[in-house]
Amino acid sequence: MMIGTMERTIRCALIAALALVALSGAATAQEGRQDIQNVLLTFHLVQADGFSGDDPEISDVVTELRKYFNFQGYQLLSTSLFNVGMYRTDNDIEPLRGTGSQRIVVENSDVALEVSTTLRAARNSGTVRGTVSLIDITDYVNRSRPTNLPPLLRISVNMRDGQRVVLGSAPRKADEPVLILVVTATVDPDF
Amino acid sequence: MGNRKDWPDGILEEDLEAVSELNPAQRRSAERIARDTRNMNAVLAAMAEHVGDGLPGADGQVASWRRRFAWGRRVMVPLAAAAAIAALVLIRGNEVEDVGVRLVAAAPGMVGEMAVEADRPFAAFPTSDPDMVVVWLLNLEESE
Repeated sequence: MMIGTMERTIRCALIAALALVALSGAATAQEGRQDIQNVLLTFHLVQADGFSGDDPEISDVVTELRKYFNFQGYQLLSTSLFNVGMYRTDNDIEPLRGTGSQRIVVENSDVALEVSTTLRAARNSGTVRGTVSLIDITDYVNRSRPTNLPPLLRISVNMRDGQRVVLGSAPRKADEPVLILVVTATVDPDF
Repeated sequence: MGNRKDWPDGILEEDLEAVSELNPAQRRSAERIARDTRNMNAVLAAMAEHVGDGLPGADGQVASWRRRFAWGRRVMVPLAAAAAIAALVLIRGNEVEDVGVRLVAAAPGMVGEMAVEADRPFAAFPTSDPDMVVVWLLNLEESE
């Protein structure tokens, strides 16, 4: 009887000790992770088809695309990047936020595009959730544009450091080019 | 009735003796009852034997296995409980509910955890690179 009671006591003590150790480790891990300060976003705009070769700068992306699509070639139209600073709101519970946009200049083309992004990140997390939009602003370069301009591409996705999202779309019209936007997120880069 | 010596139950034998003067239908009924009783006794004996096998100390090997299971419960149950608590804490630490969107820390090579959302239908393709995913937006109007 007494031995049974002791066994139960030891068992309960063991559970409590292990749980405390686990809680302590988890708390240490959480405290050790800093809030995301900056996210460097790199955008590679790629046009598919109409080309015979591949651009070496995006060779690894093209290798993956060829597994699913049968475009003749992929040409890198532009590379742009901008840094998004994450800021806190007054409410500590809410996630960090950040926004940014940049015009994309395509060489030897009259087409003007704009890529914009809205980021959110949980506190003490290494993951950001970004909404990325690619908008054709060719007709609105020197004048104000409507706020509800439909994007060529738009996606919301969770990204962590070093992850790349290859975003493509079937053209809305037959004569439209097939555009692919490769988005790479670098969390808290060393400038 | 030369086969009466085959009946194992003496009481039943005497009963049969007592009813030996009954008609053939009654005798067949009595024989059926005697046969069913023998079968039931055999079944009960077999069950009792199996129950006895599982009793502590009845068999050294069985007792040994029981001790091993008891030891396993004492060690594994606390470990499993601690692991479950730790998992709950770690998972909760990496998620944030924000405007109905669940943010979860991503692990390599998983498309689903990227929680892709788009304003139109899309297909997500995993790649051999765990840090790369291909998302292709579909134009249903064009395909139609």
